[in-house]
Amino acid sequence: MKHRNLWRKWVGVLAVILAAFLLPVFVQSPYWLHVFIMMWIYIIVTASLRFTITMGEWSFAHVPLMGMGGYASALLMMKLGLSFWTALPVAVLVTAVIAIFIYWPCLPTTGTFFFFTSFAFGEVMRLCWARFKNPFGGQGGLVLIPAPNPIHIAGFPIIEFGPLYKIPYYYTALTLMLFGLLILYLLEGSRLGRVAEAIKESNLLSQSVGIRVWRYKMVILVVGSAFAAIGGSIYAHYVTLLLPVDFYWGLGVYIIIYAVVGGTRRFSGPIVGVILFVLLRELLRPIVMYVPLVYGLILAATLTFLPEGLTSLPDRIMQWIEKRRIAKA
Amino acid sequence: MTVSYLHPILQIRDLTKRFGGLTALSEVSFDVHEGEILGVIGPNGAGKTTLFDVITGRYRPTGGRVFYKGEDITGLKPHELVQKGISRSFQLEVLFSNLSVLQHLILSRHLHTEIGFLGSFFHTPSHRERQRSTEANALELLKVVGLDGQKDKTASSLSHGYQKSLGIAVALGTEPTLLLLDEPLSALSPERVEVVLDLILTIRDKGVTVVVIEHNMGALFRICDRVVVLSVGEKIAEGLPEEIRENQKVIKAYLGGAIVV
Repeated sequence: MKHRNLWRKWVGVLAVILAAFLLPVFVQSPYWLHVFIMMWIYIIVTASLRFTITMGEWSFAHVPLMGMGGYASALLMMKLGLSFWTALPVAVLVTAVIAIFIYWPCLPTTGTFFFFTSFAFGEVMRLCWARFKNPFGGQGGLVLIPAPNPIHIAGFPIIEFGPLYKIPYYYTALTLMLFGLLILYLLEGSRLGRVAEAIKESNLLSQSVGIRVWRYKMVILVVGSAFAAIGGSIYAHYVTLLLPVDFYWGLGVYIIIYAVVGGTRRFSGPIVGVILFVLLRELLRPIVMYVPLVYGLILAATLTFLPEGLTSLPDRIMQWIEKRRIAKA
Repeated sequence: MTVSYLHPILQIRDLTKRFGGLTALSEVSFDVHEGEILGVIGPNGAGKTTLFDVITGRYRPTGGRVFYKGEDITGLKPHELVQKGISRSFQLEVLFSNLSVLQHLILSRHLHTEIGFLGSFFHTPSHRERQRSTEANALELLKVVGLDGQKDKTASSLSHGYQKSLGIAVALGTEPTLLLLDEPLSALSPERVEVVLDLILTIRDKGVTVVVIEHNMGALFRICDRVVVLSVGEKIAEGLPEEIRENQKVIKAYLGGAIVV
């Protein structure tokens, strides 16, 4: 029984992935392709945020660190002339190192204090981009960020990126997103994931069984930031414009709403949350000024009726049916 | 049981801990000998738990030193002390509430599980083999503390008595040479008290030195080799259980709650 469920689960996952790969066959409108490209970017950013939440601390520096990934890879390409395919991994490494400095002063704190110190240090970094015209472009941001370099594979036509060619961006974002999700999934099932859970449950007992809580928390935060940087980097070279204001605290709030409404307990939570909200936003386009209101209502309703998020709904229904059956018997 | 009094495993010297204006421990000194069960008693607020907190690195002492096997361990972090073989249980249920009993035991083996990060990442056969042996180890330990029937329950769904035993099992999972138990008998049923007393004797017989904080003196005095008495942060007596029972100072400290032994 358990095996059959597991088998079904993986068939379902593969079907969704296949659907995502085939989507451009059916959806050719550049507008909708744009919506989906942004969806893939948000998924990797939100899933990596959730990964850091598994150890019990909520970081508000996550979105600025995503931005750091974007700035780093844009600058590596523009100032050092690296190819996008080199700039991306280097930018991820640079962001990981910067994350160490951002989280260093935050880590002695926990709970609300961690939330606010991480907000403060993330904001310091963001304001640095606004303040220093060289190299970050100041308030006006970085403009004319080059598109990713064309891909040459022997025997295939050259794949070019550009404002008129959305499909290469679509597949790049999708592939990098899936790669990121796969690594995050494996990490969660590894020893690191189990230690994260222990730290979330009890910091005190974790220390008492010999877990170096500080070090594990740092590793988890840095890994999370690295995957946010992948999202930021794709964003930068896709939109070709980076402004400090793009990564203001409001985006951080939205990302947290996506994760919470989807459910932070399950790996699928942030994915479901992002898909739902990105599509919802398209529905709300005629009344766009009410978007924050609707998001707020959905968040409040979820926290009231489904505190573990939408992905806990199937389990909830199963429990309810089971209860009914027992009551009848 | 003959105890060699020549080998102090833990030496506490002039240990002082102040929280602001409150002195929780004031120049406490005593030795813990290898292979013994040492009882630490005292009225509420005597500083017993603070003593454990300072020894195990949760708090830094304001003054004084702690030596373990002759080495100065004052101010080391909890995880460093566990590596050296000092482990503790907690008075209030400090557990991973939402994790199962088995998961607790696996986590308690943290230091004794090879790193094998890549193995756990890719779920290689050698990693699975290691996982199986860790699990077998954990199950064995659960049998020792009498929790083998509860392995899949979450900690928060266990009864108080089982939670206490789980706390001890987690401390044992780190393979300590010195085990500090903070009120392992509090709020247990009389039958359960006997089980835990037997367990403590078993642990000692396996070569682990045990220090026990306890309010239930009647039960404690039946198993411990020596007793240290704290009152308002100071050590007021130290000796064999029979001597402590007669000690006027101790009786006075407990006055109001007449000492019944």
